[in-house]
Amino acid sequence: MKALFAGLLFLLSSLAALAGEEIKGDWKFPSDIDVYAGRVYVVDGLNNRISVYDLYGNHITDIKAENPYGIDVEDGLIYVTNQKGKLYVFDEFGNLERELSLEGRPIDVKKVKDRLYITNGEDESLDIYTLDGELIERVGGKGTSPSNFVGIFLLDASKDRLFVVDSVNARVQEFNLDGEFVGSIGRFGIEEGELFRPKGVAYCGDGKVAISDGITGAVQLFNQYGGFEELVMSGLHYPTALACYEGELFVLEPLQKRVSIFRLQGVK
Amino acid sequence: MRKSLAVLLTILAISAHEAEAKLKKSMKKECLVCHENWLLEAKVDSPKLLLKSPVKAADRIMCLSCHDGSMADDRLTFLGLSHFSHPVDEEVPQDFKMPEGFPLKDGKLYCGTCHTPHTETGSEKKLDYTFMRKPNVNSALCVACHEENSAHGENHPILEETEDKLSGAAVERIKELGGKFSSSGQMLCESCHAVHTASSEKALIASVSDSKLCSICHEENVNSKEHPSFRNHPINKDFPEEADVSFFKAKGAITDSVECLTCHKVHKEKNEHLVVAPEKELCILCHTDERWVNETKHNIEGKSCKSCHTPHKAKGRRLWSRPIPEEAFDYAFLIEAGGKDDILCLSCHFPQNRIAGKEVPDVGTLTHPTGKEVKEKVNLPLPGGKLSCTTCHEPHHSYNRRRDGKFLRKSRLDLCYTCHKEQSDVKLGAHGKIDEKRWERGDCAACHSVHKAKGGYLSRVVYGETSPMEPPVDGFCLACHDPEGMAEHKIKQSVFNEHPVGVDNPSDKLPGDKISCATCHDPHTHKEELLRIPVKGSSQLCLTCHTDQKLSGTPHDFLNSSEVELTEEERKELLKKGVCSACHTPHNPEYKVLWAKKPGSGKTIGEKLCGTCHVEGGMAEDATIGEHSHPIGREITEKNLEMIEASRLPLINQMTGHPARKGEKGILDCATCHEPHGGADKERLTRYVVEGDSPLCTSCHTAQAAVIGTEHDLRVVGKNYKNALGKEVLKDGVCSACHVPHRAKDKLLWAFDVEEVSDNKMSNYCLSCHREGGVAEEKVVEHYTHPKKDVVVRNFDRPGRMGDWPIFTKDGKEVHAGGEIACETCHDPHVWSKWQKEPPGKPVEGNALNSFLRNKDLRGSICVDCHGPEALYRYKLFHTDRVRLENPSYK
Repeated sequence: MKALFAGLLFLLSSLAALAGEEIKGDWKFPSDIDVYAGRVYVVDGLNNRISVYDLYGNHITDIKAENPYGIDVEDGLIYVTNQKGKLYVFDEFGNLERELSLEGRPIDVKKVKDRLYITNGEDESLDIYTLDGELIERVGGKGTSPSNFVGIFLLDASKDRLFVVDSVNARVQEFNLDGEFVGSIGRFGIEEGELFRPKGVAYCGDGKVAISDGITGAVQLFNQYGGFEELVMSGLHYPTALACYEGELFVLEPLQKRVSIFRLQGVK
Repeated sequence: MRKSLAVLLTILAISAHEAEAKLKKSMKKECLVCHENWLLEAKVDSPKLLLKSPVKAADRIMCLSCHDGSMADDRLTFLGLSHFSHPVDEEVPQDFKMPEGFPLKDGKLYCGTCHTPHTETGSEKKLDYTFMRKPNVNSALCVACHEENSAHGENHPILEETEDKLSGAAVERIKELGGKFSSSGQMLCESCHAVHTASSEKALIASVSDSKLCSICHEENVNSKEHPSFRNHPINKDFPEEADVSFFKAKGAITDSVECLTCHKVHKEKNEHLVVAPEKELCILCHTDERWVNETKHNIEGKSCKSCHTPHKAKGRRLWSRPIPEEAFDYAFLIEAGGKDDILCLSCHFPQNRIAGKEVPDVGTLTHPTGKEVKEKVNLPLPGGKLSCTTCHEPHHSYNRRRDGKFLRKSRLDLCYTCHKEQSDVKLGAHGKIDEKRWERGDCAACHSVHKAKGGYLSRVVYGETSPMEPPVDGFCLACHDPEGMAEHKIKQSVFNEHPVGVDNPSDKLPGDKISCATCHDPHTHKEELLRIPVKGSSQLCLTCHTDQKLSGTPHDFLNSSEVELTEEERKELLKKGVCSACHTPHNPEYKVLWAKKPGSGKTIGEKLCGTCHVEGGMAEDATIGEHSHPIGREITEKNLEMIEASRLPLINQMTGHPARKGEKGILDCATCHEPHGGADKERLTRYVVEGDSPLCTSCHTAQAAVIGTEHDLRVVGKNYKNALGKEVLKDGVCSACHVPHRAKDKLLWAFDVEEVSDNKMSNYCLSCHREGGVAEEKVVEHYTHPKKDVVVRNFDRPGRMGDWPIFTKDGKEVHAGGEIACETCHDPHVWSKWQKEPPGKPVEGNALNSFLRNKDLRGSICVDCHGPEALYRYKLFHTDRVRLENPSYK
């Protein structure tokens, strides 16, 4: 009975996601994605570019950048990190507007209001910068305690919350915009609602947070309080970066050179 | 609302606390973050399991989950696993002994073979240590497995000082590509190999299949666009067809093209310089045709190819390794060696050079030219399109592989004839059979020495000291063709000059600026007399230069003249040797002017030459000059010289037999008037014609030319008089009425027998015509005598002597005393009037101012000398009866 229930749940979860749409490219282990204004940005850092597609997977252009890794597209500007301490800001046409020097090993970036939030792999910290590249605050450090990280990775944000992947600690930590710890999502394990090696996170609205797991191959939906909502998809091959856009969840599988698109039920 | 918020916060706090508590509670979590399969859930069949099968710590994806850019960005490493990385997931070869402490997974290499997170020596700051099973300081980890690839002497050196060996640019480039050096700058395994981030096979940071990796450090050992002046063995080239590629394949060398690692091995090679075969054997694996050098003198001190070549940093083209001394350059300049690689050969083959105690032969100062283009395409190497030493010589072996083969590309004959095709006919001719016991038929070496020649044209022999005025070829020919030479046809056997050499060649149809033997003769032909142009028949060869000496249409054209009768034998001989040979021969002449026959007798050259035939019993005995002929051979007086120079007829140089040139002494001779090869009058062979106004005669005898237009010009009186020799005035000229140059009747070259009308010969010349029945019978002179008895007429010069009054002896000789008054005393038969400019041109009656009179009055005359005042009376009436009747002395 229990198994039947689990199977039914899995089926429903699968149906919940509108599978079948995907974007493929000749990428070399892409590291991050974002979706903004009908465009999908795929960070193909080992090819020194950001490939831009429409929602139907048609390639629009490539933006040249040196070893880009993380990306966030906000307000028509494209914010891109590289792990050698740089942040590039491009306009919507791919013209470099600014280049900022950051501390540590920047992994991912999220721009919220007038702040830039950077995950820093070298210091296992969440670094908060002004838009001019001035470090305001560093949150965290290596460790397992709340607001500490082991394997800090990608991040996403709602309008007032930051969701930061704490990969080896098998969780996603939640902060307010001042960098104060709010809570943690996920617990260590390999069953539904558990995380083993979370890689990507995306805030999908309505308090829903999608988290990918590179080892279990699952993408799960949690609420912002840490409660497990549903399994969006399992059986993926090393899913990493996620992006939510108008009720659709974009999942990057870098080893498959593929971005899969799922429609989430109940998410506006 | 506040209550709700409190509840919510409590829930959140509890939730966060629970998660943290779980983490803390699991003491194994540090292990489980990698050993997922150790989780209890993984061992039970839970429906909520997200994984269908457990993932082990040793699985690659587990490593990736931290090395994807989160803990470290090693994406390239993971991508490389399936490309150029150190092998993973591969079985270890059976003959490969894994050292202890390096585990395998299912008998295969895996990440954990080298890496482990459990190391106690790890430090995140020292990546050589971190997670390695053994610290890879100075490639220690690499060497643990690959010890054989690191042993000194058999492998590319590592852990050696590189300060003087590697440029800063090379080090930077290596680092850019992911290579590493030790902390003190020494090379490591990782200098070339990047275990996980390699971009080429065998985990190399750059490809070796195109020599890119080797070229980074060994920059000066490869040729490149950046350094076109470097001289190294070419790489990135196809193997030569004859190369023994199988050997290289067996050695695991690169064989798709010739690269650094075709000849060199980086690991496990015992040969010096890490070459795949001993150096003596290596080169000839590809350069198979050059292997024979080992059997030649060019295998200097047993060094084989390295006797002369080096694969890297050569000193000259063709990977030349030997020093090129100043003497070699000087020598090259001296012998004008212009071939592209000649200096390489001359670097050893210069005079007095010794190598390994042995003298090296040089090529002398007269040697076959190099640096010149050949006329047509030949099947021999022409570096830069020009001749060079290597055009004829293959420095690695001779064509027959014999040690004494002189490194020739072909047999000597074939080699010479390859370029000198036109000379190959020599085999068929006389020069192809020289000293047949010694030389092969047609062997060029019978006459020529390609090197160390003794004279021009690369002659092997020369004839004594040749004059610098003579072309060198003549000494060459004379070496055999002199009277004591070995040749059958000898020249210079006569005391008289041969055909001249060393003078300008007037023809552009025969070779050479100066006349030489080779102007007329082609020593390599087999045609008649080795002549370039045949002489038989018309003597075309001679006429090529002597264009003005064509005999056609003249009586001297013996083969065609109707006036000459030849025996059949003579005709055959002339046909064979040419018409010129009737009189001339270029070699061994009997006399001057290349005279071919025994000369006749006589004082002048003309007499001797012409007298060969124009003599009694000679071929032209019907055309002798007779007893009385125009004088020749006399010393030329000043007056005559002026006369002859004005005539532009030549005096003849008796030394040469040719017309005297300016400054040369000459005399009047046959050839003054005659041009035996033609002339203006081809029938008479005279330089000027005689027809009409007799220009040949009157060109000299200008005073006598006044006869033209007078009544003594028989054309004026309308008579075509034919003299005793059958000469006609209209055909043979105005002079022929009275004179002929040869076979004349007397010394005055009279053309007919003089009638004895009077007892004075001089008068008889006139009276022969002016008599009854004479040509001038309408002008018969009845009274013409002057008393002679008891009269002594003198014509000495005296004060007051005027006029011209010659007196003559009975036999016509002009004298000053004791002579007689003859017709010519008062008359000059050639001059109608000294005082009238123009001759009458028609028969007219004369008066005292013409009538061929020498004087117009008697002042100062010999008449006055005797007759005083009566002289005029007697003079005027000299030819009348009256004066004779009145004066008894006339009776």
